[in-house]
Amino acid sequence: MNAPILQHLTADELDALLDGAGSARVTSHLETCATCLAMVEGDRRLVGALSALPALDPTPGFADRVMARVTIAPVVSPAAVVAATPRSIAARRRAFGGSLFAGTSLVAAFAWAIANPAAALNTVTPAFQGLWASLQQLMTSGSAQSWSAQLVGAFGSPSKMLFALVAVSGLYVVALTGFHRLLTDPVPDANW
Amino acid sequence: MNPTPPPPDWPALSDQEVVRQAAAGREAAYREIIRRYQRPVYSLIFRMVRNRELAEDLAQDTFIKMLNAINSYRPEYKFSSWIFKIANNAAIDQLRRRELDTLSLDGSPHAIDAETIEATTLQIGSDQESQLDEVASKELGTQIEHAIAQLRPEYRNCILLRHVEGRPYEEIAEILDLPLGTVKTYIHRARNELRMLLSDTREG
Repeated sequence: MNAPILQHLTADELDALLDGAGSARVTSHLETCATCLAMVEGDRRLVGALSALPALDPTPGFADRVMARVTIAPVVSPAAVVAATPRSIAARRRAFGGSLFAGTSLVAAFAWAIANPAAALNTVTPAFQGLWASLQQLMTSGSAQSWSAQLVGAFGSPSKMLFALVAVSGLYVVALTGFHRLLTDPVPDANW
Repeated sequence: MNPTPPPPDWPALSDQEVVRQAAAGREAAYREIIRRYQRPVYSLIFRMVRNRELAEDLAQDTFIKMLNAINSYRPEYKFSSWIFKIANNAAIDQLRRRELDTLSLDGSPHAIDAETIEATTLQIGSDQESQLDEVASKELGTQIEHAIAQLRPEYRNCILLRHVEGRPYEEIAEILDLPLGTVKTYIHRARNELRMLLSDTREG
């Protein structure tokens, strides 16, 4: 099939010509079409004149006027980010001390309870009686609800329990990530 | 004692590297960005709003906005796209506010004084060109500036970015938030309108 020589140049073909590239069809068409040739020559003159337009300078002192209203970003070296401040060191020490005290107390309490089971039972039973009664009441009223059977069914086998645990852990991680992002400083957008 | 590192050879650094230095808090990097872009940014804005004082204010605002947000620059984009985008938005907002987008062939009242005409005429550097060529070129430059001022703003910024600033189509689409096909159409139509305006001027 012959190429459509009589079809005028497309915008893309004209752009390609102005960028210094042109197909054989374009070249042969220009040899026969005075309209397209005039358009190409007109565009070439126009593009030449446009690209020769001078760049214009703002008035002297432009940079100084801009810099007077710019806040230079603070220098943040990677070392500064990693290095701890006195305040953070004190906070870390307090947290570590508290955790150590709580852990030691818990281990000591368990050790004492194992060594003295009767005394431990006497000590904790009155304290937990009220709590146990409340828990029983909560379970009783909960089992009377319509969703109770479904909930029990959902945890009815070890595999279902495992699935539920994984799902809850996943939700926990997602929530933690979300909170972390919320607490992170926002970055200015500047028209992007 | 550690010797002070020598200052970078700023002109030799890429835009990305200069921006990285600016984000690290080096004032010299800020000044290098201004030095590199003050002419193209000011030229683009001036040719959009056709008012020297206004163009300077808008160019200043462009740099202040961009430099104050230098840490939010995303290196996956071209830096020039970012700054031209801010400059173009500033110019378009101004045109919408002040309705400076329709000008007669005589130009705006602010653009036809001797200083502006001188500033917008072609600067001929070649010794080979005769005095007659120089005058003809200056006249053509002035006519083109007036013709550009008559284009619709969306054609005007496209043609300026493409044929005055020499930006590729893809970058113009990114700067103007337009589809590539629309950018090509606007530029094609803008060239047609300019050709017609210039032929009218010569015949008139």
